Amino acid sequence: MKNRLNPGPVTFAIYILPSFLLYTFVVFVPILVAAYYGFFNWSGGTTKEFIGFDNYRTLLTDQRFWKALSNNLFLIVFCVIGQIGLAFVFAMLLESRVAKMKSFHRTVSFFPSVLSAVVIGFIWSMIYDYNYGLINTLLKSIGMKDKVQPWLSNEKLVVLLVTIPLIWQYVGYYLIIIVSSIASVDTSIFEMAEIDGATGWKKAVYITLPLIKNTITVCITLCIAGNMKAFDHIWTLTGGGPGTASEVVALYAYKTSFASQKMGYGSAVSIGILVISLVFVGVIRGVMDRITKEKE
Amino acid sequence: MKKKLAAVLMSSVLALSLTACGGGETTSTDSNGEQQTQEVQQQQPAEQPTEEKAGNEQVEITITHFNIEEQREQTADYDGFYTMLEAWQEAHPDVKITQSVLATADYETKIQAQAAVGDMPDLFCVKGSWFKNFVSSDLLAPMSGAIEAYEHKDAFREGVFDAATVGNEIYGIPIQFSVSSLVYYNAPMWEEIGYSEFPATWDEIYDAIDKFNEKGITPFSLGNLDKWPAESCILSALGDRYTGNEWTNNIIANNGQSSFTDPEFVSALEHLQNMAQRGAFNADFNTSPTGPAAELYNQGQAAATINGFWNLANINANATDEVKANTKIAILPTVEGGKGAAGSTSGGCGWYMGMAPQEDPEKAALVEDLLMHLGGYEYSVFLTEKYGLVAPSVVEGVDVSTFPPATQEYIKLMQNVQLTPIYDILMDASVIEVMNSDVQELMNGSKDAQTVAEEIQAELDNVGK
Repeated sequence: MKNRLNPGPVTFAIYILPSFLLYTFVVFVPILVAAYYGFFNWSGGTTKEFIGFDNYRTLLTDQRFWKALSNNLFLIVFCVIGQIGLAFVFAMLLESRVAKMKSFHRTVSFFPSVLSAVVIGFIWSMIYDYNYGLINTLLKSIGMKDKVQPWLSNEKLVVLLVTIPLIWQYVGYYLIIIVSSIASVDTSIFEMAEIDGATGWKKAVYITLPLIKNTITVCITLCIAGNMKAFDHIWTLTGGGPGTASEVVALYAYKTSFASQKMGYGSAVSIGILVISLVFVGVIRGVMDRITKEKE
Repeated sequence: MKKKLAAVLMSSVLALSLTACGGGETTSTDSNGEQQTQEVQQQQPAEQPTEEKAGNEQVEITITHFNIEEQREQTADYDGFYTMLEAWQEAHPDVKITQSVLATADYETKIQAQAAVGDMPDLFCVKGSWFKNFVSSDLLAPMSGAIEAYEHKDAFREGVFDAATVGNEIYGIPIQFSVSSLVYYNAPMWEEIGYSEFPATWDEIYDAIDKFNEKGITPFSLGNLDKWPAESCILSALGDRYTGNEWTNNIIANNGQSSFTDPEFVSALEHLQNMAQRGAFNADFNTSPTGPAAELYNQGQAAATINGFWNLANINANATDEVKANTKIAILPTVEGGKGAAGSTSGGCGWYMGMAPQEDPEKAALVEDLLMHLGGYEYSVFLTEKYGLVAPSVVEGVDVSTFPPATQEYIKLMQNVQLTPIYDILMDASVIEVMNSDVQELMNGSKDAQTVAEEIQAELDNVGK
């Protein structure tokens, strides 16, 4: 009996081995290989020239990379607010007594999350379409014809416009996570709070939020990681355009490797993305830890 | 104990991951298939009993390409490819041909990834601008000898091997003869505003643009979402009007004698920006994919479209009968003081098929024979006679009267047109990437011509390093 609950090191190692191997092969090896390729001037094929840290040095001053990264930051900020914030609000609404057909709302709001990003991109490109798009049709029908424009050509708005589909798609996803974490809290706590007079937003902010802060941390981490690798929505909607206005780092890495055929530099860009993502996640975890500790 | 265990574990991981890598490389042609790839295997005909060959290993030739069989009916090149392949297979029943077929964009990604690990199929499509890279990476076998020995070598059009030539050696056989900039226009619509034929000066074109816009008709339809159409179909030809051929060839060679910041090229960029700002294109030209933009013209909602020869098949297949009958084809007018030759437009061979270096000389001869068949004279004969296309080889004495009116227009026009280099097929891929992106911003009005020129030049300098 003791053996089953507390396996020896050998059994333990055997249990862990398959996942460890898989993870090594699909994550660690590619990362190490990409880091290695980053040291070469390499356009694919068998010949490559070792150039030391040149690619990484170029990356530090590459305007286009940093601009793409600033687009990622924009995406992260808006998605944390839009996805997790909205999801929290919706979760509170769903948990409140006035909400009807709760499971219906839960299910329907999760639908977009299971759609492929290409489908989402396509749906939203129809919404933004100049001739037949929902927005322009609506504007025309309310007599604001002067506001009609090819929306995705507007380089000042384009990043926001490509963020909206992302928010729309994943609100349901975070909603489910948050709802389930609220469900795991002992209901007597909420009942006590209500008896004490904490209702509405007071209950949400002072009771619910502190109780599910670990879940929120996980959500934010997922959100940052997800938005650092944002690619397919933007690819289908604008291809990073107009020009590079809506380009994100993953798109830039892809274009560098495959359109510009700079495999070496593309690998360096990917490693840059990895490092920056880790830093972001690390910082946010640190901040959340600190908040958590202060409150305690 | 623990340390020992860890060491054993780590080394087994290492060993496993190494073998896994090795395995991945050799089998990736097959395993990369996934959803986009359809593995079409042309098995030996049934009447050829396999036992007969027992012990004598069957030769297998792998081809990766973008000629999607489902689109064979609508696409002349694809039809030509399969017709040639089927004929060759019939003559060589003992050879097993394994194809891996992807749509062009996916193809480019896949073959680049394969090139990255040096794992090429026997035959594959190569874009003109890739040759330098691929040859320097030893991914292509030289073809000069085979071409020299080819019975119809004199039929190849002049310059078709230019992009495939590295040093003094040719590395590919052209499979597509591309004209990237043609103006398809709806003649009665232009007549209505007073132009009995396509204007010969830009002043007249701008005048027409204003008149069409007043009537609420899109003057030129353009779908530049993918960023290459404006550069490949308009700037390639318009640029040459200003800079002349020699400039372009200097840029392609990157010999330092020409620069993108030369005033001629900057003028061309300004011109393109003017066109966009004057309302020459549909308002959503930068966000519209090529398909819907072509449809604008096909449905008679645009007076013209500037597109490549490939749009001809699209018009013949999808345009309304009225548009089909009324379509005439022209080229962009010359510009005042420009260095480019009048009566020329951008064109040439864009895609080639190349052969990976072979170890077995017997197989090499076989693959070479197949390649010469896929891109050789018979292929051109097929394209010319069945589709009326201008093919890589000159085919004479074809009766054109049975072709659709737009195709006849094209054949007529091409008899007197000189061809100039297509930018994206011949210039370095990373220069083109910057150019495509910048041209989109230029036409959007968010970057000026001088900045765009400087940025493209910076990338060219970077490549030269």
